[in-house]
Amino acid sequence: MIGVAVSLLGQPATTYSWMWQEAKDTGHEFVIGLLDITESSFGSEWKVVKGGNQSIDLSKMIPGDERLLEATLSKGASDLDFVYKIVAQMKNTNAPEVAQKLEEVLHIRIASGKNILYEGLVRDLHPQEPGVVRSNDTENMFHAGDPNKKFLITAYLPQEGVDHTFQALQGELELRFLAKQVTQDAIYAE
Amino acid sequence: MKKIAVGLFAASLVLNIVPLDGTVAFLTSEKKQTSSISLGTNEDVFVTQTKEMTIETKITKRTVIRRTMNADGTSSETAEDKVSIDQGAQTIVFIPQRPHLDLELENLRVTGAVEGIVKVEKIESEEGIEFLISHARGEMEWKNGTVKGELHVTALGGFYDVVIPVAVTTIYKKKTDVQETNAPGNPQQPGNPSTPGTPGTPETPATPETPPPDGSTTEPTTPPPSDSADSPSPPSDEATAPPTPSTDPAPSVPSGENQGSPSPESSPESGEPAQAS
Repeated sequence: MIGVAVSLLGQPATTYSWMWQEAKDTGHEFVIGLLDITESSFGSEWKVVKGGNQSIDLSKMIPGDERLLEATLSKGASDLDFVYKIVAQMKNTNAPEVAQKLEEVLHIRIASGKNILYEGLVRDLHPQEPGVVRSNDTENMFHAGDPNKKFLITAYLPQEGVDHTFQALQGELELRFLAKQVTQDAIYAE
Repeated sequence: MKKIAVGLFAASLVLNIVPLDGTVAFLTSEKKQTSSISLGTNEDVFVTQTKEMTIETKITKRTVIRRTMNADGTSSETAEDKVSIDQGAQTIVFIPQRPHLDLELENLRVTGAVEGIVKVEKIESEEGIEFLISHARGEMEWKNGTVKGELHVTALGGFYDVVIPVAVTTIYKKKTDVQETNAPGNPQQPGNPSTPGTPGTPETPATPETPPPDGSTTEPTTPPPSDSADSPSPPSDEATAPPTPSTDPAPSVPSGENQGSPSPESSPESGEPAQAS
C-alpha cells in the first residue's frame, strides 16, 4: 500500500517538474490562446465554369471542363496569429491507383481575389513532410486581426494530355484547410 | 493484493523513468471537405448512334445483244453494255455534348482493308456533325466481295476515341439479254440503199447492212459512258469498258455469217468473245 501511495504521489510531481523543465527550455515557445478554424467553409456546390450541360456538377468531366468552388477560411473564435495551408488530395479507397492516375491530369487553380495563388496538378498540393514550407501562397500567415479569407478553387482538366485511358475514372477530391500556431517547430495535424 | 501493489509501483516507476518526451503539444486546427469527381466517357463528348457501318455497292453490267435475222438465214449481232453503279454510302452523325466541340476530317481515319477505298466527306447537317462515308468510285472492283476495316475517330487530345467497324460489300451482277429482230424487214431499216442487193450474197449485204447497225450500235454503245456520266463520276474503268463493246460490233460482222448458231453459247459469255477477238 505504501508503494502505491508513493508512486501516485511521485508521478504528478515528476510530471510537473518535467513540464517546468520544458518551459524553462527556450527552445520551446509556449502559446496560450485558441486556434479554431472549423467555422471555415467550402462551398457545397461546384459551379460549372466551362463545359457541361448542368450548372452544378463535378462528374463526367471531359478535357476542357472547369468547375469552381468557393471556400472561406474563417478564424472563428481564434485569438492568435496562425499559419494556414491549403491541401488537396485525390482519394479512392477501393482503388488507390485510380486516384493516383486522376492526379496525373486533374489541375487545380486557387485564386484569392485577383491573385492566383496556385495553378497546377493536385498532387503538388499534397500534405508534405513536416517542416517543408510551401513556396507559393497556399501556405500563409493569418493574423489575428485579419478578416476571413475567401478563395476560389477551380478544378479543371486541360484540353490536351488526357487520353482515352482516363475515361470514367472516379475518386474523391479532398480539400483541407490546415492551421497551426506560429512557432518555429509547430506542425500541422496531418 | 500484494501483486497489484507491486505492479502499480513498477508501472509508475517505468512512467517516471521515461517521461513522455517529445510530446510537445501544438495548437492546430483543420477543416475538410471531400467531393466526388469522375471523368466522362466517349458519350460525354460525342454521341453517335452508329455502332458499325455497312456500305453496299451494287454494280450491274447489262449486256444487250441485238441479233438481226436476215431473210437469207444469216444474222448479225450487235452487243451493247450498260453498266449501272449504285454507289454504296452511309452517313454517320456525331452530336457534340459541349457547344464548342467539333470534328474535322483529320479527326477521322480509316484503317484496314478499306483504307483508300472509301472516301470520307464532311457534310452539312442540322442534327450534328455529319460525315458521308462512301465507296470511292475509282476503287470499285467489278466482282463480288467484302472488305473490312475500321473508322477511327479521335478528338480532344485523344480523350475521345471511338472505333467503328466498316464493311464495304460489292455486289456485281451480269445480265445478258438477247433481242432478236427478224429482218425480212431489211427494207424496214431506214436509209438502206443497198437492201435490194442484200438477198444475193451474204457478204455484200453484211457490209452495207452493218454500217447502219454499226451506226445504230455506236449510238447505244456511246450511251453507256453517257449513262455513267449521269451517275456522278465516270471512272477510268468504265472509260476502258465501252471500247470493248464498240469493237464488238465489228467482229459481229463476221459472226453474222456464222448463221447465228453460237447465240446460246455466246450470249452468256458475250464479254469474252469480244476480248478473244
